[in-house]
Amino acid sequence: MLTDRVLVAAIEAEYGRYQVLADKALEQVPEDLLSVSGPANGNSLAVICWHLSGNLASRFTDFLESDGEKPSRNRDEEFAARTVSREEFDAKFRIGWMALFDALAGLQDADLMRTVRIRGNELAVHEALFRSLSHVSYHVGQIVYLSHVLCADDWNYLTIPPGGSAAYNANPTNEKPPARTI
Amino acid sequence: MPTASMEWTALLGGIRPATGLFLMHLTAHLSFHFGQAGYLRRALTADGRASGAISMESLDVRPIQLT
Repeated sequence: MLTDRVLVAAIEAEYGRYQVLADKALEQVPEDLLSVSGPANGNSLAVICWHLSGNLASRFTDFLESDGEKPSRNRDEEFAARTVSREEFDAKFRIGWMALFDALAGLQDADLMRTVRIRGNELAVHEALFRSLSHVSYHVGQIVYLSHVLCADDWNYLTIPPGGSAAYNANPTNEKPPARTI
Repeated sequence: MPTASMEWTALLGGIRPATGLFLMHLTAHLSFHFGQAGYLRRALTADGRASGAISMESLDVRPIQLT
């Protein structure tokens, strides 16, 4: 049955797919490794979290009304090395995800052709959402990769494990997005 | 001419998605692995510069100005 938010719900579910993926990767990482730099001084999980959460909070707070790059955002500070607890990490990430999902919950398909601004540049809502979804999945890819590196042999695969494609194809259980954990 | 609301032409894991939604799904999946490739590239080359993978310029619908 067609409703007035078929497309928005699909976009929302795709964001949810990556929120769950990040969550399931991060829950495997010991607390003391959340703040450790990656190979060759790469961004730590905490830095990626601060950046992604800062981006989402800036873009999706007052999503339709105000510029997506808020004056209060300090993007450079998001990339500063930091040592955080699991509680601080989870609280920071939640701020970003909640800003995103709260904004999406208020959208209808008709809103996709409205206009928003990012750094003064006008974008259709659908363009802003697809761009943001790519940005989220880009950094969730980094989170999953770095979590795997940090957990090494203790890593539990989140998707199809190596050598498991034939078994998965016979019973494809992950084709639809899972329920969000936030 | 295919449209975003048309069904994909084949079953995918028993599911036949709308074309537009499947393309969105593929785009996000591609970005997921771009993120991993970019992180590994920085680690292997020790070059921390961004690749500009999420640039907004490509969304500009105005004709490209050749100079």
